[in-house]
Amino acid sequence: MSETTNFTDQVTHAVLPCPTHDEFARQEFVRSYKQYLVHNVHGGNRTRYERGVKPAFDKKHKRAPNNRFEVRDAMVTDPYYRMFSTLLRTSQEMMWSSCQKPVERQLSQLNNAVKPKAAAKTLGSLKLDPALSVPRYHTAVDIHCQPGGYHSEFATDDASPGMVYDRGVHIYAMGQMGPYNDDMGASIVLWLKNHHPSFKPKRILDLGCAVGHSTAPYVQAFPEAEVHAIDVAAPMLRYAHARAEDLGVKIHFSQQNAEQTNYASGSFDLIVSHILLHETSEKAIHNIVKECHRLLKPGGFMIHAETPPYKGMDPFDAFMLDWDTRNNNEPFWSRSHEIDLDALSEKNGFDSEGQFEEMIPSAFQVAEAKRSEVFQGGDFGGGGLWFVYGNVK
Amino acid sequence: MLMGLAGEVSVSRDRLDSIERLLENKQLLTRSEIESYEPTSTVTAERAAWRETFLDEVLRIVQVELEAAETDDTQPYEEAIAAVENNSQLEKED
Repeated sequence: MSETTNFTDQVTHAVLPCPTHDEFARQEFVRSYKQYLVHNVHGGNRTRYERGVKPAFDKKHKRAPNNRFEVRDAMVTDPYYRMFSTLLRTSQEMMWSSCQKPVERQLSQLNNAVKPKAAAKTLGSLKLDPALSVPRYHTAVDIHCQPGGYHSEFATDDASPGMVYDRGVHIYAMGQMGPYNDDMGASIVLWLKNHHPSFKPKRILDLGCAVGHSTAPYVQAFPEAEVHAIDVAAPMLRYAHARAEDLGVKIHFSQQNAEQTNYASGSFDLIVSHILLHETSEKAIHNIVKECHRLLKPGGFMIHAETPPYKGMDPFDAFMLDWDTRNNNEPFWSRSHEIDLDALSEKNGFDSEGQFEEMIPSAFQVAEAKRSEVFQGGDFGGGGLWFVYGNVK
Repeated sequence: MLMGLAGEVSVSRDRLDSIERLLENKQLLTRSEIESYEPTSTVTAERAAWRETFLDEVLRIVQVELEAAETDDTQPYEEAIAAVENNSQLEKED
Protein backbone atom coordinates (compact mmCIF):
# COMPACT_ATOMS: atom_id res chain seq x y z
CA MET A 1 0.00 0.00 0.00
CA SER A 2 2.79 2.43 0.69
CA GLU A 3 4.66 4.18 -2.04
CA THR A 4 8.27 5.20 -2.03
CA THR A 5 8.43 8.39 -0.06
CA ASN A 6 10.48 10.92 -1.88
CA PHE A 7 11.42 13.75 0.38
CA THR A 8 12.95 16.86 -1.02
CA ASP A 9 14.51 19.02 1.60
CA GLN A 10 13.49 22.63 1.72
CA VAL A 11 16.23 24.97 0.57
CA THR A 12 17.31 27.07 3.52
CA HIS A 13 18.01 30.76 3.33
CA ALA A 14 18.99 33.45 5.78
CA VAL A 15 15.50 34.15 7.12
CA LEU A 16 14.03 30.65 7.13
CA PRO A 17 13.78 29.75 10.82
CA CYS A 18 16.40 27.19 11.79
CA PRO A 19 14.88 24.43 13.94
CA THR A 20 16.66 22.61 16.74
CA HIS A 21 17.25 18.88 16.36
CA ASP A 22 14.01 18.04 18.11
CA GLU A 23 11.94 20.83 16.49
CA PHE A 24 12.98 19.47 13.12
CA ALA A 25 12.12 15.94 14.24
CA ARG A 26 8.65 17.17 15.21
CA GLN A 27 8.15 18.75 11.79
CA GLU A 28 9.36 15.61 10.05
CA PHE A 29 6.87 13.60 12.07
CA VAL A 30 4.07 15.82 10.77
CA ARG A 31 5.30 15.38 7.21
CA SER A 32 5.35 11.60 7.61
CA TYR A 33 1.94 11.70 9.24
CA LYS A 34 0.46 13.68 6.35
CA GLN A 35 2.07 11.36 3.79
CA TYR A 36 0.63 8.41 5.68
CA LEU A 37 -2.85 9.90 5.48
CA VAL A 38 -2.51 10.41 1.74
CA HIS A 39 -1.24 6.93 0.96
CA ASN A 40 -2.88 4.77 3.60
CA VAL A 41 -6.02 6.42 4.91
CA HIS A 42 -7.54 8.84 2.39
CA GLY A 43 -8.43 6.14 -0.15
CA GLY A 44 -10.49 4.28 2.44
CA ASN A 45 -13.15 6.96 2.26
CA ARG A 46 -13.95 5.98 -1.30
CA THR A 47 -14.08 2.33 -0.30
CA ARG A 48 -16.48 3.08 2.55
CA TYR A 49 -18.58 5.21 0.25
CA GLU A 50 -18.85 2.62 -2.52
CA ARG A 51 -19.40 -0.35 -0.23
CA GLY A 52 -21.39 1.08 2.64
CA VAL A 53 -22.52 4.67 2.50
CA LYS A 54 -23.78 4.85 -1.09
CA PRO A 55 -25.65 1.51 -0.98
CA ALA A 56 -27.35 2.62 2.23
CA PHE A 57 -28.38 5.88 0.57
CA ASP A 58 -29.62 4.00 -2.47
CA LYS A 59 -31.66 1.68 -0.32
CA LYS A 60 -33.29 4.64 1.43
CA HIS A 61 -33.83 6.99 -1.52
CA LYS A 62 -33.96 4.53 -4.43
CA ARG A 63 -31.20 6.48 -6.19
CA ALA A 64 -27.58 7.49 -5.83
CA PRO A 65 -26.68 10.85 -4.25
CA ASN A 66 -27.21 13.65 -6.75
CA ASN A 67 -24.63 16.12 -5.57
CA ARG A 68 -21.85 16.71 -3.06
CA PHE A 69 -24.29 17.96 -0.41
CA GLU A 70 -26.14 14.67 -0.39
CA VAL A 71 -22.83 12.79 -0.31
CA ARG A 72 -21.81 14.92 2.62
CA ASP A 73 -25.00 14.30 4.60
CA ALA A 74 -24.42 10.59 4.17
CA MET A 75 -20.68 10.58 4.84
CA VAL A 76 -20.49 12.81 7.92
CA THR A 77 -22.00 10.10 10.11
CA ASP A 78 -19.68 7.40 8.79
CA PRO A 79 -17.15 6.44 11.49
CA TYR A 80 -14.31 5.90 9.02
CA TYR A 81 -14.75 9.30 7.44
CA ARG A 82 -15.01 10.91 10.85
CA MET A 83 -11.76 9.23 11.90
CA PHE A 84 -10.04 10.35 8.68
CA SER A 85 -11.32 13.87 9.13
CA THR A 86 -10.16 14.07 12.74
CA LEU A 87 -6.74 12.69 11.83
CA LEU A 88 -6.38 15.23 9.02
CA ARG A 89 -7.50 18.17 11.13
CA THR A 90 -5.09 17.08 13.87
CA SER A 91 -2.26 16.97 11.34
CA GLN A 92 -3.05 20.56 10.36
CA GLU A 93 -2.93 21.80 13.94
CA MET A 94 0.26 19.85 14.65
CA MET A 95 1.80 21.24 11.49
CA TRP A 96 1.28 24.88 12.43
CA SER A 97 2.36 24.23 15.99
CA SER A 98 5.58 22.56 14.81
CA CYS A 99 6.33 25.55 12.58
CA GLN A 100 5.60 28.12 15.27
CA LYS A 101 8.00 26.74 17.86
CA PRO A 102 11.29 27.61 16.11
CA VAL A 103 9.89 31.05 15.28
CA GLU A 104 8.75 31.84 18.82
CA ARG A 105 12.10 30.78 20.17
CA GLN A 106 14.06 33.20 17.98
CA LEU A 107 11.50 35.89 17.21
CA SER A 108 13.56 39.00 17.81
CA GLN A 109 16.65 37.63 16.01
CA LEU A 110 14.56 36.60 13.03
CA ASN A 111 12.70 39.90 12.88
CA ASN A 112 16.09 41.61 12.98
CA ALA A 113 17.35 39.50 10.10
CA VAL A 114 14.26 40.39 8.08
CA LYS A 115 14.73 44.15 8.42
CA PRO A 116 15.13 45.65 4.95
CA LYS A 117 18.56 46.90 3.97
CA ALA A 118 19.22 50.38 2.57
CA ALA A 119 17.71 50.86 -0.87
CA ALA A 120 21.12 51.08 -2.54
CA LYS A 121 21.96 47.56 -1.37
CA THR A 122 18.78 45.82 -2.44
CA LEU A 123 17.87 44.05 -5.66
CA GLY A 124 14.12 44.47 -5.40
CA SER A 125 12.00 46.67 -3.16
CA LEU A 126 9.41 46.68 -0.40
CA LYS A 127 6.67 49.26 0.00
CA LEU A 128 4.26 48.89 2.91
CA ASP A 129 1.07 50.86 3.44
CA PRO A 130 0.01 51.06 7.09
CA ALA A 131 -3.20 52.80 6.02
CA LEU A 132 -4.39 49.81 4.00
CA SER A 133 -7.13 48.01 5.88
CA VAL A 134 -6.96 44.24 5.98
CA PRO A 135 -10.16 42.87 4.44
CA ARG A 136 -12.69 41.03 6.54
CA TYR A 137 -12.13 37.86 4.56
CA HIS A 138 -8.69 37.76 6.17
CA THR A 139 -9.56 38.79 9.69
CA ALA A 140 -12.74 36.76 10.15
CA VAL A 141 -10.98 33.43 10.71
CA ASP A 142 -7.49 32.02 11.22
CA ILE A 143 -7.18 31.11 7.60
CA HIS A 144 -6.26 27.41 6.99
CA CYS A 145 -5.89 27.13 10.77
CA GLN A 146 -2.69 29.19 10.84
CA PRO A 147 -2.89 30.95 14.22
CA GLY A 148 -3.33 34.67 13.51
CA GLY A 149 -3.57 34.08 9.79
CA TYR A 150 -1.44 36.16 7.44
CA HIS A 151 -1.96 39.58 8.93
CA SER A 152 -1.43 39.31 12.70
CA GLU A 153 1.62 40.96 14.22
CA PHE A 154 3.14 39.65 17.45
CA ALA A 155 5.95 42.21 17.67
CA THR A 156 6.84 45.55 16.10
CA ASP A 157 7.52 45.17 12.37
CA ASP A 158 6.72 41.52 12.71
CA ALA A 159 7.34 39.01 9.93
CA SER A 160 6.53 35.87 11.91
CA PRO A 161 3.43 34.88 9.89
CA GLY A 162 5.72 34.67 6.86
CA MET A 163 8.32 32.66 8.77
CA VAL A 164 5.70 30.18 9.94
CA TYR A 165 4.09 30.02 6.50
CA ASP A 166 7.31 29.38 4.52
CA ARG A 167 8.07 26.24 6.52
CA GLY A 168 4.39 25.31 6.87
CA VAL A 169 3.76 25.31 3.15
CA HIS A 170 6.68 22.94 2.58
CA ILE A 171 5.37 20.47 5.11
CA TYR A 172 1.77 20.89 3.93
CA ALA A 173 2.76 20.06 0.38
CA MET A 174 5.00 17.26 1.70
CA GLY A 175 7.82 18.60 -0.41
CA GLN A 176 5.78 18.16 -3.59
CA MET A 177 5.97 21.84 -4.48
CA GLY A 178 9.74 21.54 -4.74
CA PRO A 179 12.60 22.72 -2.54
CA TYR A 180 11.59 26.36 -3.07
CA ASN A 181 7.82 25.74 -2.73
CA ASP A 182 7.58 27.31 -6.17
CA ASP A 183 5.70 24.67 -8.13
CA MET A 184 2.61 26.74 -8.85
CA GLY A 185 4.57 29.57 -10.46
CA ALA A 186 6.93 27.11 -12.15
CA SER A 187 3.96 25.19 -13.59
CA ILE A 188 2.40 28.30 -15.11
CA VAL A 189 5.81 29.25 -16.53
CA LEU A 190 6.12 25.76 -18.04
CA TRP A 191 2.62 26.02 -19.52
CA LEU A 192 3.40 29.43 -21.03
CA LYS A 193 6.62 28.11 -22.56
CA ASN A 194 4.75 25.17 -24.10
CA HIS A 195 1.62 27.02 -25.26
CA HIS A 196 2.80 30.57 -25.86
CA PRO A 197 6.53 30.19 -26.49
CA SER A 198 6.87 33.60 -28.10
CA PHE A 199 5.14 35.43 -25.24
CA LYS A 200 7.75 37.59 -23.54
CA PRO A 201 6.06 39.68 -20.85
CA LYS A 202 7.86 42.84 -19.83
CA ARG A 203 5.91 43.60 -16.69
CA ILE A 204 4.49 40.87 -14.47
CA LEU A 205 2.26 41.11 -11.41
CA ASP A 206 1.66 38.35 -8.83
CA LEU A 207 -1.52 38.89 -6.80
CA GLY A 208 -1.68 37.72 -3.18
CA CYS A 209 1.99 36.71 -3.26
CA ALA A 210 2.30 35.70 0.43
CA VAL A 211 6.04 34.91 0.86
CA GLY A 212 6.81 35.22 -2.84
CA HIS A 213 7.44 31.52 -3.28
CA SER A 214 5.43 31.36 -6.51
CA THR A 215 6.72 34.70 -7.77
CA ALA A 216 10.37 33.73 -8.15
CA PRO A 217 9.91 31.42 -11.18
CA TYR A 218 8.69 34.37 -13.27
CA VAL A 219 11.84 36.33 -12.48
CA GLN A 220 13.96 33.36 -13.49
CA ALA A 221 11.95 32.58 -16.65
CA PHE A 222 11.69 36.17 -17.89
CA PRO A 223 14.92 37.89 -16.82
CA GLU A 224 14.13 40.96 -18.92
CA ALA A 225 10.83 41.54 -17.13
CA GLU A 226 10.05 43.75 -14.17
CA VAL A 227 8.25 41.62 -11.59
CA HIS A 228 5.85 43.03 -9.02
CA ALA A 229 4.06 41.20 -6.24
CA ILE A 230 1.35 42.39 -3.88
CA ASP A 231 -0.40 41.20 -0.76
CA VAL A 232 -2.61 42.84 1.87
CA ALA A 233 -0.56 41.41 4.75
CA ALA A 234 2.48 43.40 5.87
CA PRO A 235 4.12 40.56 7.85
CA MET A 236 4.12 38.32 4.76
CA LEU A 237 5.63 41.07 2.60
CA ARG A 238 8.40 41.88 5.08
CA TYR A 239 9.41 38.23 5.03
CA ALA A 240 8.92 37.87 1.27
CA HIS A 241 11.28 40.75 0.55
CA ALA A 242 14.01 39.43 2.86
CA ARG A 243 13.61 35.94 1.40
CA ALA A 244 13.84 37.14 -2.20
CA GLU A 245 16.88 39.28 -1.44
CA ASP A 246 18.67 36.35 0.17
CA LEU A 247 17.83 34.09 -2.77
CA GLY A 248 19.02 36.76 -5.22
CA VAL A 249 15.62 37.16 -6.87
CA LYS A 250 14.58 40.70 -7.88
CA ILE A 251 10.95 41.38 -6.99
CA HIS A 252 9.14 44.62 -6.16
CA PHE A 253 6.82 43.89 -3.26
CA SER A 254 4.07 46.26 -2.15
CA GLN A 255 1.18 46.14 0.26
CA GLN A 256 -1.94 46.44 -1.87
CA ASN A 257 -5.35 44.87 -2.24
CA ALA A 258 -5.73 43.04 -5.57
CA GLU A 259 -9.32 44.31 -5.77
CA GLN A 260 -8.05 47.83 -6.28
CA THR A 261 -4.38 48.58 -6.80
CA ASN A 262 -2.62 51.87 -7.42
CA TYR A 263 -0.89 50.72 -10.62
CA ALA A 264 -1.63 52.55 -13.85
CA SER A 265 -4.12 51.12 -16.33
CA GLY A 266 -2.64 48.91 -19.02
CA SER A 267 0.68 48.63 -17.24
CA PHE A 268 1.15 44.85 -17.09
CA ASP A 269 1.24 42.16 -19.74
CA LEU A 270 1.04 39.19 -17.39
CA ILE A 271 -0.96 39.01 -14.16
CA VAL A 272 -0.97 35.81 -12.14
CA SER A 273 -2.26 34.44 -8.88
CA HIS A 274 -1.64 31.16 -7.07
CA ILE A 275 -4.33 29.67 -4.83
CA LEU A 276 -5.55 33.19 -4.14
CA LEU A 277 -9.11 32.84 -5.34
CA HIS A 278 -10.30 30.30 -2.77
CA GLU A 279 -9.21 32.58 0.08
CA THR A 280 -11.36 35.49 -0.84
CA SER A 281 -15.03 36.31 -1.24
CA GLU A 282 -16.96 36.01 -4.49
CA LYS A 283 -17.44 39.76 -4.58
CA ALA A 284 -13.69 40.23 -4.15
CA ILE A 285 -12.95 37.71 -6.92
CA HIS A 286 -15.07 39.74 -9.33
CA ASN A 287 -13.28 42.91 -8.27
CA ILE A 288 -9.93 41.21 -8.75
CA VAL A 289 -10.77 40.07 -12.29
CA LYS A 290 -12.09 43.53 -13.10
CA GLU A 291 -8.85 45.02 -11.80
CA CYS A 292 -6.87 42.54 -13.89
CA HIS A 293 -8.69 43.78 -16.97
CA ARG A 294 -7.86 47.36 -16.13
CA LEU A 295 -4.22 46.62 -15.47
CA LEU A 296 -3.55 44.49 -18.55
CA LYS A 297 -2.21 45.80 -21.82
CA PRO A 298 -4.10 44.60 -24.91
CA GLY A 299 -2.93 41.04 -25.60
CA GLY A 300 -1.90 40.59 -21.99
CA PHE A 301 -2.72 37.42 -20.04
CA MET A 302 -4.23 36.86 -16.66
CA ILE A 303 -3.73 33.35 -15.26
CA HIS A 304 -5.08 32.16 -11.91
CA ALA A 305 -3.86 28.82 -10.56
CA GLU A 306 -6.15 26.94 -8.20
CA THR A 307 -7.36 23.55 -7.14
CA PRO A 308 -9.90 22.24 -9.66
CA PRO A 309 -13.49 23.56 -9.77
CA TYR A 310 -16.31 21.19 -8.86
CA LYS A 311 -18.01 21.52 -12.24
CA GLY A 312 -18.09 18.13 -13.93
CA MET A 313 -16.57 16.40 -10.93
CA ASP A 314 -18.03 13.22 -9.49
CA PRO A 315 -20.09 14.26 -6.41
CA PHE A 316 -17.94 12.11 -4.13
CA ASP A 317 -14.70 13.67 -5.41
CA ALA A 318 -16.18 17.15 -5.04
CA PHE A 319 -17.23 16.29 -1.49
CA MET A 320 -13.72 15.11 -0.59
CA LEU A 321 -12.09 18.17 -2.16
CA ASP A 322 -14.48 20.30 -0.15
CA TRP A 323 -13.09 19.06 3.18
CA ASP A 324 -11.23 22.31 3.71
CA THR A 325 -14.35 24.46 3.73
CA ARG A 326 -15.72 23.02 6.94
CA ASN A 327 -12.62 21.53 8.54
CA ASN A 328 -9.66 23.72 7.68
CA ASN A 329 -10.92 27.29 8.19
CA GLU A 330 -11.36 27.92 4.48
CA PRO A 331 -14.82 29.48 4.50
CA PHE A 332 -14.63 30.69 0.89
CA TRP A 333 -13.39 27.41 -0.57
CA SER A 334 -16.80 25.94 -1.39
CA ARG A 335 -18.20 28.96 -3.20
CA SER A 336 -14.96 29.72 -5.03
CA HIS A 337 -14.92 26.22 -6.49
CA GLU A 338 -18.34 26.76 -7.99
CA ILE A 339 -17.97 30.29 -9.22
CA ASP A 340 -19.29 30.84 -12.72
CA LEU A 341 -16.04 31.42 -14.61
CA ASP A 342 -17.79 32.54 -17.80
CA ALA A 343 -19.71 35.20 -15.90
CA LEU A 344 -16.50 36.14 -14.12
CA SER A 345 -14.86 36.94 -17.44
CA GLU A 346 -17.84 38.54 -19.14
CA LYS A 347 -18.94 40.79 -16.27
CA ASN A 348 -15.46 42.20 -15.88
CA GLY A 349 -14.52 43.22 -19.36
CA PHE A 350 -13.06 40.03 -20.75
CA ASP A 351 -14.27 38.18 -23.84
CA SER A 352 -15.45 34.62 -23.28
CA GLU A 353 -13.52 33.66 -26.43
CA GLY A 354 -10.20 34.40 -24.83
CA GLN A 355 -11.06 32.37 -21.74
CA PHE A 356 -9.22 29.17 -20.94
CA GLU A 357 -9.69 26.59 -18.21
CA GLU A 358 -7.17 23.81 -18.11
CA MET A 359 -5.46 21.25 -15.94
CA ILE A 360 -1.77 21.92 -16.34
CA PRO A 361 1.05 19.57 -15.34
CA SER A 362 3.06 20.26 -12.23
CA ALA A 363 6.54 21.40 -13.25
CA PHE A 364 7.98 19.68 -10.20
CA GLN A 365 6.30 16.37 -11.03
CA VAL A 366 7.46 16.59 -14.62
CA ALA A 367 11.03 17.14 -13.46
CA GLU A 368 10.75 14.36 -10.86
CA ALA A 369 9.42 11.95 -13.47
CA LYS A 370 12.43 12.73 -15.60
CA ARG A 371 14.72 12.16 -12.63
CA SER A 372 13.19 9.03 -11.18
CA GLU A 373 11.06 7.79 -14.08
CA VAL A 374 8.23 7.45 -11.58
CA PHE A 375 5.22 9.74 -11.46
CA GLN A 376 4.86 10.67 -7.82
CA GLY A 377 1.31 11.29 -6.68
CA GLY A 378 0.54 14.63 -5.18
CA ASP A 379 -1.63 15.38 -2.20
CA PHE A 380 -5.40 15.34 -1.97
CA GLY A 381 -6.43 17.73 -4.65
CA GLY A 382 -3.40 18.03 -6.88
CA GLY A 383 -2.13 14.70 -8.06
CA GLY A 384 0.55 16.43 -10.09
CA LEU A 385 -1.76 18.90 -11.80
CA TRP A 386 -2.93 22.48 -11.25
CA PHE A 387 -6.08 24.05 -12.54
CA VAL A 388 -5.73 27.37 -14.31
CA TYR A 389 -8.41 29.84 -15.27
CA GLY A 390 -7.37 32.71 -17.43
CA ASN A 391 -8.11 35.10 -20.19
CA VAL A 392 -6.40 37.43 -22.57
CA LYS A 393 -7.26 41.06 -23.01
CA MET B 1 -4.45 6.52 28.78
CA LEU B 2 -2.90 9.47 27.04
CA MET B 3 -1.33 10.74 30.24
CA GLY B 4 0.08 7.25 30.91
CA LEU B 5 1.63 7.36 27.47
CA ALA B 6 2.94 10.88 28.09
CA GLY B 7 4.55 9.60 31.25
CA GLU B 8 6.34 6.77 29.47
CA VAL B 9 7.58 9.16 26.76
CA SER B 10 8.96 11.31 29.54
CA VAL B 11 10.73 8.29 31.03
CA SER B 12 12.31 7.44 27.66
CA ARG B 13 13.38 11.02 27.31
CA ASP B 14 15.08 11.00 30.72
CA ARG B 15 16.87 7.80 29.85
CA LEU B 16 18.10 9.28 26.58
CA ASP B 17 19.19 12.36 28.45
CA SER B 18 21.20 10.18 30.84
CA ILE B 19 22.89 8.42 27.93
CA GLU B 20 23.79 11.73 26.29
CA ARG B 21 25.29 13.09 29.49
CA LEU B 22 27.29 9.94 30.16
CA LEU B 23 28.63 9.89 26.61
CA GLU B 24 29.64 13.50 26.96
CA ASN B 25 31.32 12.85 30.30
CA LYS B 26 33.30 10.04 28.72
CA GLN B 27 34.16 12.38 25.85
CA LEU B 28 32.72 10.05 23.24
CA LEU B 29 30.07 12.40 21.94
CA THR B 30 28.85 15.90 22.79
CA ARG B 31 25.26 17.06 22.97
CA SER B 32 26.04 19.91 20.62
CA GLU B 33 27.07 17.28 18.04
CA ILE B 34 23.63 15.77 18.44
CA GLU B 35 21.97 19.19 18.19
CA SER B 36 23.81 20.00 15.00
CA TYR B 37 23.59 16.57 13.43
CA GLU B 38 22.44 16.94 9.84
CA PRO B 39 20.99 13.78 8.38
CA THR B 40 22.03 12.90 4.84
CA SER B 41 19.25 12.24 2.36
CA THR B 42 19.82 8.51 2.86
CA VAL B 43 19.30 8.90 6.58
CA THR B 44 16.25 11.11 6.00
CA ALA B 45 14.79 8.46 3.74
CA GLU B 46 15.50 5.70 6.28
CA ARG B 47 13.84 7.72 9.02
CA ALA B 48 10.82 8.41 6.83
CA ALA B 49 10.51 4.69 6.12
CA TRP B 50 10.73 3.93 9.86
CA ARG B 51 8.04 6.49 10.57
CA GLU B 52 5.76 4.86 8.05
CA THR B 53 6.11 1.52 9.83
CA PHE B 54 5.63 3.32 13.14
CA LEU B 55 2.43 4.94 11.90
CA ASP B 56 1.27 1.55 10.60
CA GLU B 57 1.46 0.37 14.20
CA VAL B 58 -0.11 3.44 15.78
CA LEU B 59 -2.88 3.68 13.21
CA ARG B 60 -3.39 -0.07 12.85
CA ILE B 61 -7.07 0.36 13.58
CA VAL B 62 -7.46 2.39 10.40
CA GLN B 63 -6.20 -0.55 8.35
CA VAL B 64 -8.53 -2.87 10.24
CA GLU B 65 -11.48 -0.65 9.38
CA LEU B 66 -10.40 -0.42 5.78
CA GLU B 67 -9.99 -4.18 5.39
CA ALA B 68 -13.46 -4.64 6.83
CA ALA B 69 -14.86 -2.17 4.33
CA GLU B 70 -13.03 -3.77 1.41
CA THR B 71 -14.25 -7.26 2.26
CA ASP B 72 -17.76 -6.23 3.28
CA ASP B 73 -16.96 -7.65 6.71
CA THR B 74 -18.99 -5.02 8.45
CA GLN B 75 -21.55 -6.91 10.46
CA PRO B 76 -21.34 -6.02 14.12
CA TYR B 77 -19.91 -8.75 16.31
CA GLU B 78 -23.06 -8.62 18.39
CA GLU B 79 -24.87 -10.31 15.55
CA ALA B 80 -22.61 -13.35 15.87
CA ILE B 81 -23.33 -13.52 19.61
CA ALA B 82 -27.04 -13.18 18.96
CA ALA B 83 -26.84 -15.94 16.36
CA VAL B 84 -25.14 -18.28 18.83
CA GLU B 85 -27.57 -17.44 21.63
CA ASN B 86 -30.46 -18.09 19.31
CA ASN B 87 -29.03 -21.51 18.47
CA SER B 88 -29.06 -20.57 14.85
CA GLN B 89 -27.04 -21.35 11.72
CA LEU B 90 -23.75 -20.32 13.27
CA GLU B 91 -23.61 -23.32 15.57
CA LYS B 92 -24.89 -25.70 12.93
CA GLU B 93 -21.96 -24.87 10.69
CA ASP B 94 -19.49 -26.38 13.20
